[in-house]
Amino acid sequence: MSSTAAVPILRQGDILIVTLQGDLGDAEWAKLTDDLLDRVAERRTRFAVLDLSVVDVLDSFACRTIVGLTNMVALRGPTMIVAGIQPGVAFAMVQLGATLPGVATALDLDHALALMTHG
Amino acid sequence: MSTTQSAAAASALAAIPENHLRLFWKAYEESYDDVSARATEELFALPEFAGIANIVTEEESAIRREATRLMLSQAVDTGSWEAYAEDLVAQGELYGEMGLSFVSWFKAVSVVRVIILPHLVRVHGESTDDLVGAVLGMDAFFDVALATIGNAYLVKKESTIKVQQDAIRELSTPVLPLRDGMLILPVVGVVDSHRAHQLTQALLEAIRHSRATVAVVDITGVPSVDSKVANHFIQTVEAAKLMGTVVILTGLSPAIAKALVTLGVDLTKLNTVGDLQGGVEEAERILGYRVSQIEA
Amino acid sequence: MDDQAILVSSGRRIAVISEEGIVLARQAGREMSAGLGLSETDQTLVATAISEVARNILLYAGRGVVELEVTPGPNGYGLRIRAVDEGPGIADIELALRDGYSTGHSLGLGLPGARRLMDEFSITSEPGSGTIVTMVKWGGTALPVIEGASP
Repeated sequence: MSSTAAVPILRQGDILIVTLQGDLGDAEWAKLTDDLLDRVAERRTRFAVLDLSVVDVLDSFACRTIVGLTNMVALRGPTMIVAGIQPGVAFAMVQLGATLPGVATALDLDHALALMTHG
Repeated sequence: MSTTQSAAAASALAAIPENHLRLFWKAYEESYDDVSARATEELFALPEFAGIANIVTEEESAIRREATRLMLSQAVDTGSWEAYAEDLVAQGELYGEMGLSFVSWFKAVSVVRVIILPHLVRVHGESTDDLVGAVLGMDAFFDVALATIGNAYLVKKESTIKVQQDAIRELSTPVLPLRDGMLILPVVGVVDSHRAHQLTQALLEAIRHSRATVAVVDITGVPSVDSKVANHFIQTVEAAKLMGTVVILTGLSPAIAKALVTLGVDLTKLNTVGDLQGGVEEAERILGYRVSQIEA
Repeated sequence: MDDQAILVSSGRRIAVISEEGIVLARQAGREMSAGLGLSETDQTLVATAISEVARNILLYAGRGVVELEVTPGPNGYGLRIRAVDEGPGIADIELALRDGYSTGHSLGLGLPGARRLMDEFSITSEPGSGTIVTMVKWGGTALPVIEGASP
């Protein structure tokens, strides 16, 4: 069943790190969107990293949500980076035709951090 | 060795009218050494035989010639051609395996007919009937011999090509980590949908495993790149991009690129560089390495 | 008292009446394809395809069922998925399978996308009498076994 715990969002200075614990259902994506936008607003935030390394499926809805989230976050300033998409998931997404246009991606959290410090 | 091929050849040879064969063989046998040596010379002059010509000694050639002469002699006498037919098939298969150019081989051995003719005239010149019989015998004999060698050559060549293609296809996709953060994937051979998927998966796994941020995919060794194959590579690039990795495609000739664009393939999604070396340099640039020329 | 018997999972049915059903259906799909011995990537493709068609059920019919079944094939086993609903049906299947087409809120990636992910794909639909989407993923080498089969 869907987990009732919210997706953890951690702040490190002007960076927010969102670590998904697994597959998200529609309602959870909606809650995540609200939570993230709240956190972005509370303090100066330059980056938001969405860590998907434990997510084993991303369907077209999830992909649209991520793109939407990226754009909504960008409206308030921060750049979103999607990190840790797994090989099988990337393959499925491309087959599906859902490819996160306009969203910055990184291999994992480490690489995302490197991207943020070195541009 | 194909037994059906040699059996067919043996029958064809046995079907040649006996007196024609004997008349031909009479003249041929006398000059056999000479004719044979000349033919071998022509053959070894072909570039494909360059290496062999040096290995085979004059002695060995002579021994081989004598063996064949005996085989022929016996066949003409007894009318049973099995052994000689097998020898013909073996020859054809050897040329096929060597990847010999059939046309140049044919030209080389066709010279034999020209060499033998004067000998036929010399031996049978007195009798028109005999001469005609000998020439007919020669024609029939060489027709079967050359057709047998040619056919064995083709069959062998086709199966060799197929074996090579299968081997190439089955080679587990080599993804080579070059430096920290860089991968090279050389693609060789035919790429169909199935293989394209395999390649993509192998690359994505390798990206994760070696934590690469740049991958150079070289398709110089892919014989044909149509819009379908191009789209497969575009998908590979997009999937890698989702993992934060830049893919540089090398080996896509400007001519093919132009053709693909005409077909409506969106090449702007691809980061292409002419050759592998250039691709690696571009990758290093992206990774932030400074590439300095080392003056020799 | 039976001897220890190996029960082969013949199939599962997941009701899709809310968005949680989508998650349940795709998780079941992943479990069954894993049980069949499908590769990690294929498991992901199956889960993704199920997510798409299950979502379609919710969007267009409001409710339906996803049925998962092991099916024997010429070279081993496969997972057959049937997404069944009694919704309005699809008037023009050709059109629905074309990328970018949509009458709902989604971008219409569902059906064409799911088709690309699976080995076999077919749709039966009549306006007014619902829709059945059938898809198969091959590559299974093992029969899924239910643990603890002995009583």
